[in-house]
Amino acid sequence: MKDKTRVVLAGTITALVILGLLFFAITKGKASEIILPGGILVIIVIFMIPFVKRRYFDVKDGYPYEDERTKRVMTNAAAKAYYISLYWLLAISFSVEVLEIIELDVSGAIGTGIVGMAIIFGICYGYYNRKGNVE
Amino acid sequence: MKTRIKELRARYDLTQEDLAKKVGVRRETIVFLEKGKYNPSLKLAHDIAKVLKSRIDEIFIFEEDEN
Repeated sequence: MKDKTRVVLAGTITALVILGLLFFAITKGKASEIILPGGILVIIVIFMIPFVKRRYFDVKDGYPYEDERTKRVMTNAAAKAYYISLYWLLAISFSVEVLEIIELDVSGAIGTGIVGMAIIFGICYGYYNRKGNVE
Repeated sequence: MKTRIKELRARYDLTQEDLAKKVGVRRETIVFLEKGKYNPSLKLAHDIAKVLKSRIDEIFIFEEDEN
């Protein structure tokens, strides 16, 4: 896939997710039901928009969309995020079932899990991207 | 790992951006390479050596205890 196509695709997906979440948040009346899509929206704004914007201008300047280092960063971040996410999901399950400190229904638990995994991946990506030496 | 990329780049009057575009990587990759913080693949090392008209072992210098 061409670099420009990838940037356009990433930008389109980000825009569609934002619009979908905004629509969902607006049509829902209860504040508690807006928290989850709102949280996802904040994550997208924090992580995705600067990422897509930077890639857009880089490709425009003639740099590749990704190279061997960014591929390694992505692979390492995904692997580490998966590993940490298992503990995150375990913590949610433990908090709900054993400690009973939070109340979550099925969709709430899945949403919290997904948001947490996205944050963990973002942190891992940032860490490996700054670390430099990725094998 | 130490590299002579910066020195050789200056010899051929190339900026980090120029070198990155010539070898098809992002500028940050050249920054990390110059700092010795990133071990390139053999293909990238070969491409950099070709652009800088040098041998790979002249550009990338490994310390004894790294082997």
